[in-house]
Amino acid sequence: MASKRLRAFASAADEELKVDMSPMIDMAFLLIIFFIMNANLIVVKMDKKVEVPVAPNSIKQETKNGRIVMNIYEDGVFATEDGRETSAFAEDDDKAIADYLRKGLNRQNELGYKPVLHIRADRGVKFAKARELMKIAASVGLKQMYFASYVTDK
Amino acid sequence: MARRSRAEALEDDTPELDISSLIDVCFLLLIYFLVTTTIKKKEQDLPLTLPGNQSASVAKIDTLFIIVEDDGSVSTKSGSDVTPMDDPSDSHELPNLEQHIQIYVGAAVTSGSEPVVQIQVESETETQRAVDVLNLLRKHKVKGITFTDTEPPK
Repeated sequence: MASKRLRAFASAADEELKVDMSPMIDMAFLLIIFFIMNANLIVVKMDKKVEVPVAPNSIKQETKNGRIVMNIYEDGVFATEDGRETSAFAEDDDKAIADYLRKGLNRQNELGYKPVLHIRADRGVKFAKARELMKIAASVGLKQMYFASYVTDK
Repeated sequence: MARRSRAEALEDDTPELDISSLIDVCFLLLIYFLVTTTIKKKEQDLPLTLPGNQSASVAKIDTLFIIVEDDGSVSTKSGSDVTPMDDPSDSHELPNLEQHIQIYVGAAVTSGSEPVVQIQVESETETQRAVDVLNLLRKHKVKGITFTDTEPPK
């Protein structure tokens, strides 16, 4: 008496509804693979407030070992990798910078690494500031340096 | 009754693998990556080694002297002759200087000596411009780089 369609619906009404999760799981795996493939370990802490210069012929950062990081902000302030809020040096306090570099040099030598000064200078800061830092570094015996840079502007 | 017990026995024989834990771990990993991933431009290194003690051997080729002015213009100096190379621009390219460096490096290689470059960067020059010059020297594998603050010898 009841139509075929109605009978079919009635018989299916008591069946459990199921959601096929397999495409969702496939998507989750794809996303994980994407993140795993594209993630890079950061070698050196990068303060966002320092916009480093562009140098297309720069080389890939290999290891953090041996690096003594100094940030030079656009207004010429020097700070360690902990940032200017906590570790800025006073203006013209060359002695404090020299002490910091010397300590870093000794620590890296004790650890058996070749000490390197990692300069993160803002691209807009006067080069005289970087020059000043290089002179202080040379005075404490730190001759190997890296200028942090981007490969492109984009 | 016998048919049902046979059917039940058949169902019991089918091995099942419960992968719900694997899916949970998968989602946890995905959430970890989503929360910790930050999109940052990658920094690279532009190496520089300050010169050590003067070597006993005399260079067979004259040092290339580069001057970077406050406004970003670049010139070379040979004796008392200053030759303008590149004007200041937003581009990081220095085509005239690059040509000059190529010729200089070629001459150094021919004469069997290491190319040595002295760079004088004026005090108000932006770091980006100085890095443009360092980038170019890196491209041509010039390692003997020194910075000078004084006027070059005439």
